[in-house]
Amino acid sequence: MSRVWAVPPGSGGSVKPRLRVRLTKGYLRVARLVRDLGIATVCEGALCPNIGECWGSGTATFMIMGDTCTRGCRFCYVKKGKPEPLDPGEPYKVALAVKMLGLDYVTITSVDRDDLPDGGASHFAATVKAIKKVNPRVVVEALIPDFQGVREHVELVALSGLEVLAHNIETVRRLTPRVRDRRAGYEQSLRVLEYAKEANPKLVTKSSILLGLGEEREEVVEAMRDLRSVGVDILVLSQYLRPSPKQLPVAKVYSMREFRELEEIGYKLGFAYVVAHPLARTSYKAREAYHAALKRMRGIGRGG
Amino acid sequence: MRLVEVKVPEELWPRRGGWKGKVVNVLKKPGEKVARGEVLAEVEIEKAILEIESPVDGVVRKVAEPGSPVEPGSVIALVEEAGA
Repeated sequence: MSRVWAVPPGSGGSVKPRLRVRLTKGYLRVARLVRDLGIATVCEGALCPNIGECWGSGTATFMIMGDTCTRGCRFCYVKKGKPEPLDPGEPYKVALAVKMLGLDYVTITSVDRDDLPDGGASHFAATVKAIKKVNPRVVVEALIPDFQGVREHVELVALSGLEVLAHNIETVRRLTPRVRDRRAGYEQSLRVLEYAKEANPKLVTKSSILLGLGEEREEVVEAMRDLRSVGVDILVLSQYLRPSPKQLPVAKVYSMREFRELEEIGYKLGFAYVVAHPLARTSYKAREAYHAALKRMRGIGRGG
Repeated sequence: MRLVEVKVPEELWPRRGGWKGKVVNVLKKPGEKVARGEVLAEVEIEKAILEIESPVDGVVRKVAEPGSPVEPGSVIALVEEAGA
């Protein structure tokens, strides 16, 4: 799909990505596989505009523990409500999907499961282990929920054998109560990233900030500093796009120049890699970001 | 002669139906030739503008009006396939 920005008529100048709808054989193969195995994807759940590109190139981001989230963040399109019980066979279904797609890098995420005693941490860890058992050479990146800030639950995933652990701060400190569910927290998310790194210093950690929700530039820089203070290696900056009228409106559309400026600040603050693009999402080009970050980290003699 | 229905594919975000949009731009009028892969019309949804292309070479016979509501599976054009 092409990735040009469009100004729709009558939109008052708001900008949307223009996507060429072309469902290639590769795309349809991924669609069939995830459907037949019964694995949810965040690509579908969030109406991700990159779905054509990613599925077309034979990859997807699996969303484990069902397609229904117990949280009600006001930027997110994933279904909210009372989730189904966990599928104990899911870890192996995901491992099988990785094998069938022949992936050498896999990104998995999940809904929040505040209904489970451990928030789903043990299921998440079991999924990473199953993927590794079936596909020993695959690099695993997990985008995890906050597990309500419980250190033991974060550690369970951090020590499950994965290479990259992502947890999103999503927005700046001031806007967190408006943008995210009341059970989420800015400090709590920083702690999650800190606990993960402390438990497993070899982990590459990663976090995303959605821009365009009403934040000031200084607040974005403050959030970037806060992420560095807990050792985050990879930063993702992207444009918030409203999925439907039920979510928050877009307060600002950032220019490519503003993305470049923030990217530069990110490098000055010491991130090993910064993905800054309107359509970047946490898992977008994750493989490339990981390898670039590793190279830089090795080059300057820190981390793994 | 074979008339091909051009749809907003249901396989786009396949298990997340319920999204809605509208036709915002019609690039090919009835009677015009169209090549496979050329954009027939653009559909605006909340998150993006979707460019809907012709799956075949042919002549446009019918196309949705700008402003027409669209959901997954909506037919937005009829194209008479060339040489079919």
